[in-house]
Amino acid sequence: MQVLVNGTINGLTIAVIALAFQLVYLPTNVFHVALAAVYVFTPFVAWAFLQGGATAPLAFALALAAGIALSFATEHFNHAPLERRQASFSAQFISSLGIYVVVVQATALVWGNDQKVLRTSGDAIWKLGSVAITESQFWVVVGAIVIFAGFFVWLRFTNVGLQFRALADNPKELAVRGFNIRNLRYTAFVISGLMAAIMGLLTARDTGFWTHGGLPIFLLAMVASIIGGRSTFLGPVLGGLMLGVLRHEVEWHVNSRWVEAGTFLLLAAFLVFRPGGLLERRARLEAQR
Amino acid sequence: MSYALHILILFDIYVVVALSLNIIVGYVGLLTLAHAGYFAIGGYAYALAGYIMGWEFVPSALVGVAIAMILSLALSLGSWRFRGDFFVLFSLAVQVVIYTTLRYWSKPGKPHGTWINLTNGDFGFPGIAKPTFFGTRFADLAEVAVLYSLFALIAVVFSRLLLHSPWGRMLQAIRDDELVARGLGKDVRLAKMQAIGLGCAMAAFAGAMYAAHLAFIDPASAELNESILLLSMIIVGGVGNSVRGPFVGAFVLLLIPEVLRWIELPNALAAELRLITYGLVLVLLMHLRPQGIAGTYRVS
Repeated sequence: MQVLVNGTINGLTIAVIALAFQLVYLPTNVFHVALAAVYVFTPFVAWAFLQGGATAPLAFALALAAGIALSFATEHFNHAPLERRQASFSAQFISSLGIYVVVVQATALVWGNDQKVLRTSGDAIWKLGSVAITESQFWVVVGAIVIFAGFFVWLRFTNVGLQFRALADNPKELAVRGFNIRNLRYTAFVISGLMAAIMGLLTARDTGFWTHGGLPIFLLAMVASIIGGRSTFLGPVLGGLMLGVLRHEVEWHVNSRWVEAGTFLLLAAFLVFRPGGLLERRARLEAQR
Repeated sequence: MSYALHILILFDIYVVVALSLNIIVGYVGLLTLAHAGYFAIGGYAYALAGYIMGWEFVPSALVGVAIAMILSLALSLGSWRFRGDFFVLFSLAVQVVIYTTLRYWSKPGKPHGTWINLTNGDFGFPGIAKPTFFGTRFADLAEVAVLYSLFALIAVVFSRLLLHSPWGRMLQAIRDDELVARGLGKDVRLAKMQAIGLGCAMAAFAGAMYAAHLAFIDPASAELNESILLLSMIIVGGVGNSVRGPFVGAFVLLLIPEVLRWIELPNALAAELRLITYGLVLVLLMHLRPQGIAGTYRVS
């Protein structure tokens, strides 16, 4: 049971990052690799402010703002200009990869490559029967649930959410109908950056953080998004939870050495046999991308 | 002098890798993130063949080439179905499987090179033999530099002949419009398989050169970061022509760290700055010159 709970908590982290990735990928077709840089960069900013004597709420708020600003800047200075020139998927992908490398290495240059922690004291542990959960894990669960609830309510019940769904379905038609695509794209990058920044801070509080911790979680998020389904926003959440639980079960009951290989074999299997993922949404042939 | 020779040797190795990657990225139009995996396979196969069988350079390197060609089928199968982002993801899966296999086919405490501890895991494979031909050992740096320059030259000529042949033109046609190529009766699947197999085989040969030169290889050479670095080399240099782009890419990849070393920055700082420069160059090129410095084809 403890393994299942830990797996679910880990899965929630993957699920949020996967949702953040999907949030940009679905409407813009941009592989937002720089999201991994946001995840890495945010805890360092919070840590720097804490070291400088700022209070925890202020440090976290400034770190979140920095994460959002970074994600926004990637769209404003990189993806939007490329999109205006109708650059290919690869050009967007490579430039995003370049931004990731620059941000992560610059972070390492300023704050070093060693592992850091955001907590200053030990974590409280709560017991529920045979299951133990730490305070940091509790906040990860709360954070993820708030993010999911907030996002899906926004998506389902607000006017911008409706436009956003339309953008994800058919960006060209939405543009033809006179909607401001550029602002919607900015919205996608801002919300995506906010999600990655929140999870970056929460996991940094739980397990610590270092400069190269972003890419592994980003890769898992991509796998989750493929497994869950790339045509919906619910798919990555389902994929992330499944992946988190599966990885912990394999790690505990089989062998921790082969978890990564198993994860990516699963990705290959999905790509070959069910590329649309578990929540594949069938579309008319001409509507498929 | 020995420093310059070491740089020349690395340049030769990078030229072979860049030429191999140019076939897959520039001529078939597939972005792969698995290339460092095949490079490392060549290095490990060379190390194991030399260590276990006592073989010389060419047969040991050919073992790596053969294994890489067989394992390239995994990538080829993906290329039959996917292009664009799906193929990038598929190649990523192949890369992770190769990396974890090289890293975890090991058992601490057991002698390396045995079935149970084949790769020696994170400790790497030490004591790899220097290149030997017909009993003559190339231990001197100058000799190795001459030998590797010869290998690089052969790779350049081979690549140029191949890519200027009807087969090379067919690859370009597949890259530009697969449907039309298929409509003209070209066997697209076979051509992709051949091109990817050839690219991976050349990367494995370069891996053998690398392992023989450094006398050591570890799983870090198969990491995703290495694949990204190799990909950035070819993107920076440019793809779509047989020699010029890969040559420039290999040169730039070597030039940046050497310039940083020249201005006598501390090693740790220089390492970070090197990667920052690569990243910046990638972003700027995508905006200003998507076909790379000396390329003719925009990766799409």
